[in-house]
Amino acid sequence: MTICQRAITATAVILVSLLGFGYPASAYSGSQAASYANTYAINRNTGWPQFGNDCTNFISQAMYSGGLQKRVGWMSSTTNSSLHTTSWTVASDSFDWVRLNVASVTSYLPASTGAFTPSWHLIGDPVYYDWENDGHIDHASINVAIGTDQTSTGWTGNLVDEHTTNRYKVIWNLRPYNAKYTITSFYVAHINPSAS
Amino acid sequence: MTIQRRVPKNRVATIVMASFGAAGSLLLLSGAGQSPPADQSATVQQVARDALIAEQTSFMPASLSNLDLPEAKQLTSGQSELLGKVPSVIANGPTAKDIATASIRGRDEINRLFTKSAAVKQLQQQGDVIASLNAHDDPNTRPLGGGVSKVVWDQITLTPDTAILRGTTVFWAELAQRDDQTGKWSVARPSNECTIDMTLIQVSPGVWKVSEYTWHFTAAGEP
Repeated sequence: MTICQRAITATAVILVSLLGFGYPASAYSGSQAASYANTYAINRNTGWPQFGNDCTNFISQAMYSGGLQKRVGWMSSTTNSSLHTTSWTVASDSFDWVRLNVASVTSYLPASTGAFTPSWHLIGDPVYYDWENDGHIDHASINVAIGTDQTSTGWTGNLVDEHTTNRYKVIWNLRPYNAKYTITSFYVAHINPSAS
Repeated sequence: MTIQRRVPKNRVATIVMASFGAAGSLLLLSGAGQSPPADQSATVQQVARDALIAEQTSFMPASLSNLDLPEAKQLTSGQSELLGKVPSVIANGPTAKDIATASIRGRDEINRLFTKSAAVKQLQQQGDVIASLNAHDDPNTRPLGGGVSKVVWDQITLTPDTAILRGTTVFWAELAQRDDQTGKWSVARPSNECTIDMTLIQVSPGVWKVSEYTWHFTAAGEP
């Protein structure tokens, strides 16, 4: 190994160590991801960088907690808020990354979709929102339960946690909170359980 | 309001106005000695406001949007549970005739306020979805109405045949959802602040239509 190669290897090891690549290493646990999301839905985890539009950063943290490993193309530093990929923090890039790398199924859902997501869309799986129905994804949340909306009693279906506006176990389509609900469309993805 | 006088193109290049508040106040005027075309500005603002309202309400069946809702128990802010006898139009949904009437009225209103290409986009976004909701694709949701509660234009740029408006508004909606488990209907009234960017063009003397329109939730207004 040349000096140059050793230097590159050492730098890579330091980077991996700094960024936390490789941990956790087990296959994806949706319930673990949901548990993380439930813990930090309202009170954000100060151990991670925070953003004004924090929705995707939040679901990325949850998916990481569920077992997806950081890697080139999907990572964020816990100590340096400027060190992250857009797939970690930007909803449209997150969907593209999830769809191409760790999802076994994805689907577009029109604005008229009811209180439940498809049966294959499980706890720990992400939901993406296209507010204007213009083909550009604007927002993300994570599926955490089936039950009754914790904020607006009477709305029953799949529940999500979300950031930007911090919400805990609210109806996944966000209709009680979205005056533009007749336009908003959705994309849902199922994380392959063997993904890590 | 009809504009009687049109500013000759060769005399005024651009007039830039910035207004704050619904009434609007002139802050900056640049031009070649022209008096401010206040009538033009008022017309443009009215068309823009009508377009925002039309986008939010045009396809709502009258039988749903004019409902006298029964007594409701307030559950949370903007959310209430309907008590007593729920109107049949909520329980059963609007009739096919109601939906057809709303569809015609909605298309007419959108075509009146938007240019052809902009109307096509609006109709694709709005018409199909609300028709779908009303046609019981989701039997547990009923769109009850909506509107615009506040419009503030931060910037209005006028030329003789074009107007560019930028501002914020608060959209609101009213909808009912039935709990599958209990059968109870509840009503939600979400409202969200949005930024608005709109371009209007004068298609014939005194007649303005919206040619481009985009909106985005403000950070504080996101659902």
